[in-house]
Amino acid sequence: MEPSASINTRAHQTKLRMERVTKTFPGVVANDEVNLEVAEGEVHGLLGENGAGKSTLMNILTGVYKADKGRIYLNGKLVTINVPRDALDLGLCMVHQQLSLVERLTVGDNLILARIREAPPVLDLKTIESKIAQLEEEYGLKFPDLRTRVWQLSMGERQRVEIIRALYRGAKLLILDEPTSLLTPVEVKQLAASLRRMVQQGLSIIFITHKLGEVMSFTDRVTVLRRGKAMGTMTTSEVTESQLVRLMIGSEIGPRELHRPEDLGQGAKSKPVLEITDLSALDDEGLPAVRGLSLSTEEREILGIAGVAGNGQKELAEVLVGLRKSTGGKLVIKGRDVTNKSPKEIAKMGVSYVPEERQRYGVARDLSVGENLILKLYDSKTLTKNGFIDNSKMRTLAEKQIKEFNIAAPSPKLPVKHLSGGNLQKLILARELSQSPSLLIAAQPTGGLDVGATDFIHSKLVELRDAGTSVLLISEDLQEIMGISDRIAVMSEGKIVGVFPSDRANIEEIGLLMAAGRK
Amino acid sequence: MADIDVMIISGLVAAMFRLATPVLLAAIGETFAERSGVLNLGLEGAMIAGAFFGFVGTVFLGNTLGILTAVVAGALVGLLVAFLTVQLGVDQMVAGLVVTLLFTAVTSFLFRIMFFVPGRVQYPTVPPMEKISIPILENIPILGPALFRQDILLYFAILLVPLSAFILFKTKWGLIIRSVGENPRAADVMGINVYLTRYICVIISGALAGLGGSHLSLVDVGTFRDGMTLSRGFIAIVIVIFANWNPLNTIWAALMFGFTDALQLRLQSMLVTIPYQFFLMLPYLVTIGILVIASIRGRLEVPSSLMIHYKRESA
Amino acid sequence: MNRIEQKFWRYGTPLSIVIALALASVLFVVVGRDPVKVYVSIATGSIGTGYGISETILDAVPLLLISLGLCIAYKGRFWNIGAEGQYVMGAIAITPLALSFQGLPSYVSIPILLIVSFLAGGAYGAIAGLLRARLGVSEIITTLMMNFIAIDILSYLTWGPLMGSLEKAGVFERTGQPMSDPMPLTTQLARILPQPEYRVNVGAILALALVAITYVFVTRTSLGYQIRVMGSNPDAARAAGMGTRKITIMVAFLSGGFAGLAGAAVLLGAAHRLSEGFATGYGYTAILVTLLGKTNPIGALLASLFVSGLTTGSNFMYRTIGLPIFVVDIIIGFILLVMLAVEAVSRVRAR
Repeated sequence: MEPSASINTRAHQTKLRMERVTKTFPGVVANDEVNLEVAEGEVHGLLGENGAGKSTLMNILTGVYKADKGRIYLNGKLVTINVPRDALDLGLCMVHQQLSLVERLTVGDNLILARIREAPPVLDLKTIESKIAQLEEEYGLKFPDLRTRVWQLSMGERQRVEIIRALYRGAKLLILDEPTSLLTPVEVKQLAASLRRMVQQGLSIIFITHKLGEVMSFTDRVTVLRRGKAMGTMTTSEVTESQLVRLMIGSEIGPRELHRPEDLGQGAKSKPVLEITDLSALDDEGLPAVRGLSLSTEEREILGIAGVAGNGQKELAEVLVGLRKSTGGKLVIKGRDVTNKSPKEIAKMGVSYVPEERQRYGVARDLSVGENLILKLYDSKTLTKNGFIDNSKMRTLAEKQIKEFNIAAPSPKLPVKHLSGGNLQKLILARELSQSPSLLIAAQPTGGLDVGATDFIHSKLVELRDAGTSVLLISEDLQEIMGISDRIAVMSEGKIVGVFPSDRANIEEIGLLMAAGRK
Repeated sequence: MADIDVMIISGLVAAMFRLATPVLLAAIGETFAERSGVLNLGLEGAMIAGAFFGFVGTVFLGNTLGILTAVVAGALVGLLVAFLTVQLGVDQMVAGLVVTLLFTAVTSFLFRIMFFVPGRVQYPTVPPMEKISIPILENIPILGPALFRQDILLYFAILLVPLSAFILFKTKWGLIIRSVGENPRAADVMGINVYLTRYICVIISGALAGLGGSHLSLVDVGTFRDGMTLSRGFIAIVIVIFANWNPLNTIWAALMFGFTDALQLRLQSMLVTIPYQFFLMLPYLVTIGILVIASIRGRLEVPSSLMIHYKRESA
Repeated sequence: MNRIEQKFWRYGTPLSIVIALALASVLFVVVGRDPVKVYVSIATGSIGTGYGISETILDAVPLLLISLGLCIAYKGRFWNIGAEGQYVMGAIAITPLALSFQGLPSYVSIPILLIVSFLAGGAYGAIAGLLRARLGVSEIITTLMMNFIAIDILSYLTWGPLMGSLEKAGVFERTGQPMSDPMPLTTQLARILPQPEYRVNVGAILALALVAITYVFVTRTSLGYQIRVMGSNPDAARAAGMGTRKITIMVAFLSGGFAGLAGAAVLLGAAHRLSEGFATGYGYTAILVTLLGKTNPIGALLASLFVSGLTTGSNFMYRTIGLPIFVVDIIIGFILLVMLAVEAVSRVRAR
């Protein structure tokens, strides 16, 4: 991989300037007076953790969102972007992580669709073929045959189609969102070479990533975002990885509260609760997400799995609770082999789950608060008798949990769709915790919640831990992990790359492991 | 072969084509609607509206304008369904069934209001549409009279089969329709108007169903009868599935249904060891079989966004 | 949701009815009739006379029975539109059985027949449930086609093995359709009232009982709860450990069973003979009843009485005012249309 020292000799004219861009959503400032300047003919990295504001900023640039404040200048001229079409007409094209190709159609079809207005009534591939050949020449990209259907292509090929489509459309500035997440190492090399060719032709590229290694090897300059603010723009060749990590994550760690008191002389080793050996699993696209992962948790501990989203955490959680099949490896809970057993059997082992996708797996929207609180109890002896649900017991239980978890619902009869995000999460937590589980798997439990709700949930998790439960906390928020975990594991690319007891955890070391990427 | 056998077979084939026409027209239209992602269960309503208003139009305005009236009526039914499902986001199944109910009732209602006089025994009729003979070709044995001495709607329907396949697969409008049906979000991002595309496709399905309905009242009987569509609108939907959402295949399924239809009228009086009702069931059993097999082998070309309402996410 | 929208939501259905009746009134005026007179005569025909009330209840029974099953199905997101076919299958299954029960006392034969009809309709519906649970085949298509198949089977049977002795001898009813031999007296559902013109039978009591049973089932039992969860969010149901496949098949079976039971109620309670024209569309009308009643058993009770009242009243109205009886379907269609539009608009506003 060529070092970015081979700076192209074109004069560094500014192509894009975003000035003081601000965007707020209810409860969170996604972009806070962000300044971004991208030169012509450079690969400009946009680095930051998830939630730092990278996607929001780019959505504003491509017309999906409208900024509350700020201006955008293209080639020195002020421009207004209200709808995606405006951005496209200005030559601003984004290649998303979830590729927006129509899978059933052919590559050629997808290209025609990109410029459908100019297309002749009867579809004709010839003009496209020549233009594509031209682009292949210019950018050194080998392109799949126009007649292949998109679903037959590999991820790398699909991405190339998306890039060529953007070029075919006359893109002047290309935004790539985590482009290597779907590629094999070989394809990554090819991509790097193509990007070099493209910027040599004067194209500007914004390269969104959370992986340090990629920043170092792909980009000429990099802008770091953290919690909505732009922390600075640096020339890649002049900066070290540790410096970037510090900017990305910050060097302050939250107060080490709520910790397991140094063991009060209880020398006995706790029994392992969860033992994962060499687990593998595929994601929804059929690509490997979990690649030979091994990990174990003990009673009375919170094990935090740190890692940037998209490294297999979602799939790991789903395998652990039985919602996804594993393709290899073993899963043992409390000594019993539960590999690939159904959700019901795993739940019977005393496993509770606070899902990342709350709306999808956590609640039934059309039912009431009370009815959602008993979701796991529908056939248990405590609530049912001879197939009938004891309504008064349900009400008592619900009222108790509403009180204990401070859920803002006047009565259990309230339809659950009226609950705010924070209260919804509290409901899910209440439900799962009340089972006195032996193992709790909590994925992004405080995502999108305000400080009050977050603190509350943390204290509940600690309470649970103190009562003996083993808690597996999966989170992108390093502060959260460091705040309440007893041990910290770092997950990257489907594997655990390091486990530390929390008192020996060095935030920079962890940050580096998290952002490891591929070299 | 004895002359009488030839005549019987020839008559059967002719009837098969004739009876297949309404359902074929509706199925072609529905293919467009479903390819854009909308299941139009109001097809039956559009068909009967076409049958009725086509009849009324012919009574007052003559043959050609009558057919036009039928098309317009069907298109308006399609517009209603499109408004409910595409614009308002009403569940497609429910919207379609309600619209069908409404127009089945409205047509019977209006028919009586307009034409019924107490004491009258005969309802008004119009002369059945003329058959157009194609010289030379009509003299081919057996197939000749069956295929080349038919009404204009049949010729139109048969021509429409390859034409609509061409439009759907080889023109840019077809490409737009298919992209909307497969991935409306991607289409939207590329600047395609998803809503307009679906509106147009559903209106087309209504219009063609209306045209097919007019065939029932103007060619076969020359008058209107309550519920004369006999669920053919729903059969058209079955045909679209059988045809794997490809207009070229609709004709085979339509002919299959036309065949059993024609057979029904003839077999009732003939002594056959197998009860004729089993022939009637055959198309449905075959279709279910195809559905099952195609589902297992994953070859079903269901448009990915079928029945899913599309709403642009924005902030 | 703010207060205005909450109020709107609660009064949505009655409001829709009022708007729809107003729209229908416009139609009446256009064809030269006084809307008030129309509605009054419908009301008179349906609940103004003893005969009217009896017929209304009689007609409501199959609608209600089928609709109860559909409430269960739709709550579980199983879009069963094959109630018509399941209804037919229920009646077909018990015809030969009932004929062989000549001489058996009612309290033995009737329960057996009701159970068999439920099982038959249920099994027929379960086929579609199986296809959906195992292969993901859309139940809208399969149940629709199975309707046609069932009607063809009915035609075959009434022209063949089940043809009545009179017809075999060449004597046909006015309709030209063959019928089965009449059901033995001991298998017929008894009338409730002594007057010969009041045809309402114990089927009505059965239906009422089932309303209560269905209500309890849906709201109070574990299985009913699972069905509702699955209908609301199949993913959450799976995550909670519910067997979604089994539930789908169960729901298909239950809704088919109710329809089959309705077939028995009509065969044994009113028609007394199986004929080719047995399928009169209750299965489809019940879908509308279910929608009107918002998939709620109590709503189904009210809606079925409402719809059958309209139908019964329309006969009277036709005799007195002369408007074709199809106004009933038009009115129901308008009501549903307005209801759907109102619901959809309020959903959009709620965002």
